[in-house]
Amino acid sequence: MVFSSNVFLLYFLPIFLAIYFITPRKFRNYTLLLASFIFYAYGAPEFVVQLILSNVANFYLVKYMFKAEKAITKKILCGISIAISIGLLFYYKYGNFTMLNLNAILGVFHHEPIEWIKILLPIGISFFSFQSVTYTLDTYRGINEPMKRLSDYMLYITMFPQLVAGPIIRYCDIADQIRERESLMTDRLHGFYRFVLGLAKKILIADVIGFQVDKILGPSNYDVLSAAQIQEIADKIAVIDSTTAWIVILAFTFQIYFDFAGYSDMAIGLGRMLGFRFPENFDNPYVSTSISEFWRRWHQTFSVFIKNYLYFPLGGSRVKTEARKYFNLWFCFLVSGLWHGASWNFVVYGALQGIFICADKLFLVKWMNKLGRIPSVIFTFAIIVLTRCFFRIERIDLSWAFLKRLFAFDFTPLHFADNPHFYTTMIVAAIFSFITMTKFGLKWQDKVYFTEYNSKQHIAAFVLSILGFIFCLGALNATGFSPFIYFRF
Amino acid sequence: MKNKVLYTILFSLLLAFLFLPMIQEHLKVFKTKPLNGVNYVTEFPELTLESFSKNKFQGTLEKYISENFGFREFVIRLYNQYVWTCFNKTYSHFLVPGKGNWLFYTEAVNDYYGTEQYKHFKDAEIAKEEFDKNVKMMCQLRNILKEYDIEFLSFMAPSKPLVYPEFLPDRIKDTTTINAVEYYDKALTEAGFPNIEMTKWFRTMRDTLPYPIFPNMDMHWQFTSVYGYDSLFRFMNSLNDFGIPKIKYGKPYPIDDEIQNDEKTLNLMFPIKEKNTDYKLDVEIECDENCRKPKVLFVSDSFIWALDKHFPWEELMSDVEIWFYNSSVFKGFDRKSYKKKDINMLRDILRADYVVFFTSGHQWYRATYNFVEEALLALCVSDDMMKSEAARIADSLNISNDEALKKIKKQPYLIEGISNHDTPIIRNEKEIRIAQIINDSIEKDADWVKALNIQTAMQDKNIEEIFKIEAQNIIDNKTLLKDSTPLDEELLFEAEVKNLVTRWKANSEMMEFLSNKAKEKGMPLEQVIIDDARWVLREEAKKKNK
Repeated sequence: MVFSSNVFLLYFLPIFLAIYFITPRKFRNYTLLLASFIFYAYGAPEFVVQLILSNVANFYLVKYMFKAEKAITKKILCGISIAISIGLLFYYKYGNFTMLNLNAILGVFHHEPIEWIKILLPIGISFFSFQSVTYTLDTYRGINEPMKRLSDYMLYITMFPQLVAGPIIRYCDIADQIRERESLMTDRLHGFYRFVLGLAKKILIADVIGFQVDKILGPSNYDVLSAAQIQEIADKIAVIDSTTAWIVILAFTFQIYFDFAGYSDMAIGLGRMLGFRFPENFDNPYVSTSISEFWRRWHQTFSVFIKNYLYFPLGGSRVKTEARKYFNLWFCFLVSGLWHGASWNFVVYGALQGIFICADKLFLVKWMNKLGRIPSVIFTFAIIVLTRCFFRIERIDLSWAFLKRLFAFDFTPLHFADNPHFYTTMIVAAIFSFITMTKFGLKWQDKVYFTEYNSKQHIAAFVLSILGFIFCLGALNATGFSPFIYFRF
Repeated sequence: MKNKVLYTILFSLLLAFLFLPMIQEHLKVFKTKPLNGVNYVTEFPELTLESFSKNKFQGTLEKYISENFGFREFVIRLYNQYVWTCFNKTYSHFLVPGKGNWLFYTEAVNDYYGTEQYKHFKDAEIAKEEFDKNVKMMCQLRNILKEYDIEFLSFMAPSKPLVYPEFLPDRIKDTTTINAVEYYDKALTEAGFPNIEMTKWFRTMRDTLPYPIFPNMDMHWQFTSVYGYDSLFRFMNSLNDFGIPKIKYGKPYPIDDEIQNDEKTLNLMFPIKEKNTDYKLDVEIECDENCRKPKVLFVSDSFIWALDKHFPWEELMSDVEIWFYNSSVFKGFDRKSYKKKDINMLRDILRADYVVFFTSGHQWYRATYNFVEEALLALCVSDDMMKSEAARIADSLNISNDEALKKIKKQPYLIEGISNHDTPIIRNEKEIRIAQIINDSIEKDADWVKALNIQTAMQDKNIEEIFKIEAQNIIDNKTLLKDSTPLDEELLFEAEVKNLVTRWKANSEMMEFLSNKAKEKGMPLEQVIIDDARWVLREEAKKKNK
């Protein structure tokens, strides 16, 4: 189920909230768990059983691991648990990709291809697999004790507000809240305001911009396209002028931010309504002065995961040689790229990010500091925009062709009147993306997101949220239905 | 404490608010104005293990909710108003807002800017090839129909964007494409095919007339269609001196009635008030003792409907048939609707005095909606020949017979007797003979038709099938069905009910109305259709008796 769908907004959400708050406090986790299974089963019925079984297996493996006295037993059980989570992720997400490339190699050597039935990707597997890894490793490292009840563990993994697209919540950050939490009236209201804010980001900004992006670059997932459709996109890219190319890639840069940040806002908002405090996932990433800073501000829970569960185990920066340090950094970003999707464009995307991170450490940040804040932000943003070509266009040849069009220098005049809705939304997106560079923007961000409201502010926010909700519902149904970009990762 | 109470009230209000659409959907507490335009009706999906596991249930449920949730009309109008007011934009798929509150048809605007071609053809060369082939086929069809004293001609209704380009939204014109109307106009004239192109004349007229010749808020022509139809019928008469009645009309005068209605499909919260005044023309048909009213078959787009709206068409023609996009069929002045597959195409063509391919500018890319292909095959190729040709083509192209059949239906030139001659040399003689017997003998005898109508109920066949059986009986000198059918009024009534039900089922608007009625009454749809058909026929009989 998708947050920005009629089923969720008009049926699931009101019914769930009513039942949840009617349920006595000690049974609320069960209500939430049941709702989460319904939520997941609605979107991916064929994977529910597998989700339950892998959860049960992990829960007991970690339980025995915790109880085990011998270090070697602990290590083995920890390894099995991680192997299950990562193994499933690898099988479902990278099975097709691996076989495709393997068969391509076999083809080069004139061998028969290996027969392989294409596997469907379970929704949210990249997110809940990582969460189960944090559970196993946090327990293994002794940061937290394992859950006593299977239902609590299941809830941690499958809680619907963050089940399919994060934020990736570390076990140590939420273990206590699952056991005991308080849901104040102000939290419920603040949660709803945040939810509507996210809905507006998604429907009123990301979808409006995305519609134009899709017109040129096709749907965001090329797996579903036929060869003829891919050719059609290639034909469009081949003749696109530089102005349009820049607008399209800039538009996608804003679209993906407002789409994903919108989803995170909704998840955080829903969590808060239920009494949870999920970690923030975005902190104005486009005002970053370097790529390193960008990755501290963009998809923060993912960056934290990679740092804690991949970078540090690789040795982090405490390694013998400088080369190894940079390799670790670069490798982490390569994996990050691949996490977004099983295709070569994501490998290139990750590798490029890794190269820029290394360059940051070597010299880029120093140079940027000399340039000053605004040029640094512009330079960093330009890198982000350019590397987005490899993120959005899931064929390296097409990404490359598109990049060439960006620098073909056959600019045509821009006609605002051609699509005022799109251009106005782009301007709004740009303002909201960069406004926190000013003190005024920071102050307002603080007021809207992080301050407890007084009664007057609550009334104003309540009215605005209700109006926003109605408006989003109108936009959703006037324009049609659109899923979140990050759902397929 | 005071704040806690406030927050509790706000949260309670929030929950109540979230439940409102659900309550409205099921209890319909508030009356809402329905949205204008095409409303799709998705049935509530059946929940089964299979439908759920294959995500069919979920997909249909989302669609169902999006079409039915409470206050849907309000929220959609609200958002439409926002995009219209702020960005002069509409989500209505077929409308493009122009400057100064002018509305245009999307495809017509694309046609003006030269991009419509891409929707149908990859490049101008392919388009030209297709257009040339169509022109050749149109000429061939005209030659064949001439043998049966039928005139086949074409009419190009005016294009609003070409008449009022100054109100179009600004876009860059693609000059590498080919314009269908311009090309066809030239090619048809060169081939000697009778054709009228209206846009040029309307463009000249717009500067001489003190009123707009297209309404600003409607995509179609309105009162000025009278000028167009006048030209058409004069032109038709000039082809064969048929003696078509003369059309006389006065000066246009403003009226209060609202004719233009495309603005309504914008579904705005606050309707646009700056509409052009609507006008009307008084039209009279003059018919002296020498005049003859023709039977006309139009293969047309929506520009044809102005004929019904602005003309006393019963005084102008003896019968009319409209093949809307060569898909839905509307027969007679009361527009009885049929599915194309339920009529005898050949019989209906041969019954006409004129066949007019009537369509507006941008639709010429789709010319002739496969009509010419179908007509050529119906007139030239018998069923047996069709089968043997399909087998031959299947064999030579290594495809199945069904695929070959489909190919022939789209490309009659695969059959040699059609492709290599100005006038095809083969004829579907048997079917043509049957069609002529039905048209000239059976249909002209009211009692015969009544008897055959009764046979439809007795044999559970549609009227066209029964007509054919009877015509074959005549050819074979067998006992006629009319001689063995008692003219029982009750049987006739039941047969008419059955025929009306079949017609209604071919009409999507009627079916939407009836299914809503069935829902409201909580009755099975089939029962509602039959009851309504009986009621309508009884009322018609009562009127006749009066």
